[in-house]
Amino acid sequence: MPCFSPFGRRGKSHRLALANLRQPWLVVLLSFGPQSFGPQVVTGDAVAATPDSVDFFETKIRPVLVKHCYECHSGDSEGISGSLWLDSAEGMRTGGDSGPAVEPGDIDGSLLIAAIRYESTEMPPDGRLPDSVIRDFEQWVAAGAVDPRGGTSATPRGEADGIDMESGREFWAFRPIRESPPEIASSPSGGHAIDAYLESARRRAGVSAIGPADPATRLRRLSFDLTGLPPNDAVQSRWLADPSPATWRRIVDEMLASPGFAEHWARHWMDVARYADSNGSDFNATFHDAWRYRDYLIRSFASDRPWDAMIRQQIAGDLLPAEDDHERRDNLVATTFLMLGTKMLSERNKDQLRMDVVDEQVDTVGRAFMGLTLGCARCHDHKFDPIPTEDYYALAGIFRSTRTLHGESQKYVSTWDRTPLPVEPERAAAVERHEAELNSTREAIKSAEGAVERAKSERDAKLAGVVADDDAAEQEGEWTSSTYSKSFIGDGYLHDNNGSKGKISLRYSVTLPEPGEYEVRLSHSPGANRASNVPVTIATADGETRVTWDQREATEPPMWTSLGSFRFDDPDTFVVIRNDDTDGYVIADAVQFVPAESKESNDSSKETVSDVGEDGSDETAESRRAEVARSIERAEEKLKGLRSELKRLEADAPPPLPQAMAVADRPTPEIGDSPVHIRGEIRNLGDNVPRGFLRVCGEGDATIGDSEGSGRIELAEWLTDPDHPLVARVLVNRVWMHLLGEGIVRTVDNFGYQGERPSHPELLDAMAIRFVRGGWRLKPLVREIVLSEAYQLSSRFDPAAAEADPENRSFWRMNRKRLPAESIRDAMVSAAGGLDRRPQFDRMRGFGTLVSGNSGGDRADVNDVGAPCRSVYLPVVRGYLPPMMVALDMADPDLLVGRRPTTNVPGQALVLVNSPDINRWAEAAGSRVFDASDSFEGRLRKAYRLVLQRSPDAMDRRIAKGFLGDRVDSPDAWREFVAAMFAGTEFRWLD
Amino acid sequence: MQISRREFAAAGGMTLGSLSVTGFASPSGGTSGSSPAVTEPHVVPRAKRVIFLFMHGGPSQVDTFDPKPELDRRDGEPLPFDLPPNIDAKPTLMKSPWRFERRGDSGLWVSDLLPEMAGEADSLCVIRSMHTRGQSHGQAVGMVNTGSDNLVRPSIGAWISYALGSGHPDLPAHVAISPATAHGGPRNYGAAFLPAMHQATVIGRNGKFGDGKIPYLDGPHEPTDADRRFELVRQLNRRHLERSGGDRGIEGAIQAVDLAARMRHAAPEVFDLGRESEATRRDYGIGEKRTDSYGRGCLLARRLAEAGVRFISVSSGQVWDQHGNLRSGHQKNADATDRPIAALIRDLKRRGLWDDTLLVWGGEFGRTPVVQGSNGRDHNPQGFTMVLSGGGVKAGFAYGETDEFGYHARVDRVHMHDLHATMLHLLGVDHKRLTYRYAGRDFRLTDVYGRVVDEVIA
Repeated sequence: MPCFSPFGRRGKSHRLALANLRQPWLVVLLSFGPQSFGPQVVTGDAVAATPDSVDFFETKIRPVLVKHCYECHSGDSEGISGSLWLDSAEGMRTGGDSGPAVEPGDIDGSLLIAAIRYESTEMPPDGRLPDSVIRDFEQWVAAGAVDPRGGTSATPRGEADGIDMESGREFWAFRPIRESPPEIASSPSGGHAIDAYLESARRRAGVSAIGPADPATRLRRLSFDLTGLPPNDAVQSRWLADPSPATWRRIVDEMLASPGFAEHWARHWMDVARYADSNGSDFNATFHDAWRYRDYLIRSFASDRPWDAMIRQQIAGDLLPAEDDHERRDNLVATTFLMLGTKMLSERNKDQLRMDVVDEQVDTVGRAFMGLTLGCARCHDHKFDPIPTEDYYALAGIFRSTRTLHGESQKYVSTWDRTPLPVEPERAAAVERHEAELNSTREAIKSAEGAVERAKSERDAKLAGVVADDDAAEQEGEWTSSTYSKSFIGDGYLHDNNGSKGKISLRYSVTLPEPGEYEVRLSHSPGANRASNVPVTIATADGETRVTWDQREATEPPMWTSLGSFRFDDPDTFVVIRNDDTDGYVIADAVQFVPAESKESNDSSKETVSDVGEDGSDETAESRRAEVARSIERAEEKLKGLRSELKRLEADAPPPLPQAMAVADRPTPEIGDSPVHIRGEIRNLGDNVPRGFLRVCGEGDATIGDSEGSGRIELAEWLTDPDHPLVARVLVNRVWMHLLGEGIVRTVDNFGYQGERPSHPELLDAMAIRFVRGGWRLKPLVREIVLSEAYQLSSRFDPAAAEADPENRSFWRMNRKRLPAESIRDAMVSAAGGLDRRPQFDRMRGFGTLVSGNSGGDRADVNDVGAPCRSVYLPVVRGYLPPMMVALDMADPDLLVGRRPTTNVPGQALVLVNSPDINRWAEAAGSRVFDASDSFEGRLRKAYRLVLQRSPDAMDRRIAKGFLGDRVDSPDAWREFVAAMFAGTEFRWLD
Repeated sequence: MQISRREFAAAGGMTLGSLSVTGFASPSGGTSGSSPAVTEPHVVPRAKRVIFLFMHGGPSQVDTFDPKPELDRRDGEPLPFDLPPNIDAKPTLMKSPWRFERRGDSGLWVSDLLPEMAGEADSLCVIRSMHTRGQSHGQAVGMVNTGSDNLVRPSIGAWISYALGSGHPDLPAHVAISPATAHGGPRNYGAAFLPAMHQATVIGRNGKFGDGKIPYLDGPHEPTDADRRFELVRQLNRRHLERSGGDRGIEGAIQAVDLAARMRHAAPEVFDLGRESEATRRDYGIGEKRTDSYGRGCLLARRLAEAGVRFISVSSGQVWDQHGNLRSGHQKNADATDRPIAALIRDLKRRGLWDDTLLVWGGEFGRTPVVQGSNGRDHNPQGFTMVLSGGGVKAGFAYGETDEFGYHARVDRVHMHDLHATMLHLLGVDHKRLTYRYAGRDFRLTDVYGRVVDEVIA
């Protein structure tokens, strides 16, 4: 998408379109008209002018250009559309981004002609020029495009310069990382390199550090910063008993080794990775497998997986070799990083969607790893940083050759491939075996259901009236016998194979026990492909009666249709089924005659009916009935057994085979370099750019040589090259920001020219070098920082120091940090005594393709914010973020968030005071406080320890006494007190 | 420790809330408190606030405000030009089931589908030549609400909140009434990268007014308990501030608690529709099944407008999407919205608010003049109608034309970016100068586009 800058460099080498299809046409009239060119206008007879004459140009061409084109395509227009100048002959022939506007003599090769014919871009956009005018232009071009206009075209303004890479590399962030020792050897108390660098800078700024925070504050800070949770009772006691550097180190190491560390720091990276469990946007598709990426992060942080390995996995894991299935799984799952962005899945123009996805990936990789806003270069050279648009498309080619989306979940709506993850052969075999068992059991159930149904039909048929089955009927022509449909009487049924129309028939002869009125019923298996107009003839007392039978439905499901009641005088009668002119399959199964009176009676014992060919005695009917009942019972029992077997199988299912939300390289023919998309337009393509990287980050042409694949492997290697000037700096700076409250570069996602400069460049580089040399490991880096004096400084305000350094750029004190939403919630659940520390996995299981319908249906329950698990495990469903967490500034998963905003909105206060969940936790915590002691002092101490991890002082005591008054022994009063502490600032800030 | 609101607002590193007081030009034109992004109007403001009557789903232009005799004449005949790509309609023309008539003194054409709005025709400014991006709802809904069809951008309400702040000391600047959860949901009234305070406060959802209250304004406890709690929170916070030796973040949080407490007392009155006369409520159709929900939404919008809220959207819910059964579907939607909207116009006029309140009526796109299925219409971003009223726009006026069938906007085309530019212009804001720096760039509501449609401005 094009972007806007107030500092647009008009004339800089914009690669703009001849005509921008999205650009609305400005219709402000120009202040000059053709008469401005009066001296040049030949006022002679225009009719006489030939197309190769100046006269022709001045009378037919120039006025049109001035009236319809100059507004956007002249040196005086506000923004030059397509960098095309039409106000000089030279400008026209040099052309704009799409090439020369006019090729003298070549009508079809002249873009200007195509544009005014509305064949390519449609110019002018506010209406097609009259045909006569277009013919004038064609003649003019054909005759050589005579153009007397002189003047310097504006075009060359931008053409020459481009971006100077050499001077670009002089910018601090692109210079190589290099070591320079601090001016003073060590901090005053001797020891830590970080403090030496900081102290040097403080001296230069004329400020001194404020001194360490009190022990309780330091421990609370450390615990939340490292694990996202308050320190537990045991640690508090141990530390307060001996707040020595040795104890500090031990506690630091314990916390670094705890699961809480991995969960908390994984969440930091999830902000950058715009982690979510659904797509959001217009089509909120469930990301069923995103959790695996979260799980991968947590395990990686727990094991201190080197960051260079993590970068390689996240960019190109699918292409990396793996030692075993375990590594292969991690490799695949890590690439979920590239898939997590929110996408306009219903975009019908799939070329547009593809490039939008690529853009999101380029921008994410740029900001996450390099702190560069590459998205700016999609449409034009970066306005501030030395990133030409060609460099953007060098990277875009890599992701364009990568398959992110594939296929459609419904018409026009894109989806992605689920990548099977390797599993142990036994596990795959078990799943296969289980599926086979499921299938065969389901089959068996189906046929058992058929058997039950048949047995029942047989009963219904046999217990009433006279039945003639198809096998006793007289066939004329050839019928096909079948048992394909499961509803039939006897051993099967006949059908006409939807053919031999008019040639075949079937005659059922029946002997009724006595004359009278009978209902005639026919059995068949109904269906949409059956005939709706089967002619049936019945020999009744009124003669042969024709009835039409619709076999598509049964009037008495599942398989009987009544043709009506008829009177029969002659006990010997017949029914004929024909297939003349029928419009589908004709089925013939059994015919049943039910005496009209018996139909009304449910008790069949007094009926005088029997099967054809039987002697009609009651004993026989009785015994047959018993036999039928037994067979129904047997069939039902079998079915019951099978159904419980199926239940058992379903309950015993092995876990489903794991799938990842992973990218893959596109098939070879689709891999290739990307053209520059002029102004980001998918239909306006420039030259292909060889896939590669940013030239400013090193010497050489930064292209990928002969890559078989997309180039992601090469990109990953380039990013993790120890000489890359940005990646280690950006990562180290992120860690520093999380611990110290501000980055050394405060714009943590922007290390470019528009970002801030580092406050301590030498310190940043020193840490980056140690980080890379130490194997890109996070834990030693965190350890190094939290053991420094700087980290343990008080956050107290000091007017003198603030005077010299109001923004605390020299870190003379600790920055006071707001707890992240997750920690606030976790701490409340923890104080309530109910925090479930078990990890959670696939919380999105059970959700459909869409996490919520587009019909306006609600799934407000998706977030489960009241669950007792750690917040990192709560589903992040885009569009349904928990209001409580949003009010506390959780990262917006639609955006890459390197540094969360800290807001103080009234809405936040309202949520903290009024949320039912928070009130529930406050009540539980309040009860714990109340139950902890019988005394005011004991309860107050417990409350402060539980919520603020410190002891109350005299002032705190006074406030509590004032609030509680005579309610010191009321549990409700203590619950209210704790609720207010939850809503207070001290609880959610780290001093 | 008491600090003035000006000092408070001047303190860096904090923002004041989706329920915010940072704003500032009061309804009477005076200012209080701190500075919105646009302190001096770029152009003379004609409106102080916007009410967006969002007809989500896409009402049909050729059945409402854009009569096409040629479509009637050639009903059932093939469309004489190609359909746009990616569309499911058949290339067969289908006339409108509704009759068009000239209305009022202005003679503006309005169909029988909207008889109540037709009665206010002399107050309407109809733009018949709208076009936008997005053949699917997702993109087009993004366009009308955020100016972007595919990328995450702040909503227009957030931009206006950012530009002007709220006109009420204790109320938010931006309120979304019954917005859809679909098609981007919160993104359509969100702040994206603008400070979070500019996101809308949401009342109801999916076209349903619900209880009509600000979320979390009340807790599970008695109001007197709440007051006591707020007071204790204040004391604890002040204690924390003392211990810290002074901290802007804590000061900001303390102010936020004060504001929350004030809002708890101020908002219920503004949100109480029971304070309106029975006649007014009846006029909006409150109490009648079909119009009750949207009527409440419109009446609340008027009360919020009166109180100083800058941008209020009232969504119909995603109901105007008649791929089939155009006649019954559109009729049902018109029955639910037409009367409340007409009542809103009359009510604003009665109270002298119409002149500086800009009403915007429309969907994310229009519908095809060709048939889909047997009796529906497909999406049509190529040409459709939006209607303005009040705040500085011409009245009883129609602008722009679609082609003879109402398919493509042809004459005096107005892109969605142009409409946004015009809306900001009417509020005194130059869309090119309202920018926000994020991820290394200065962003605008109108991206690099937008033209103020001077022709519709009175």
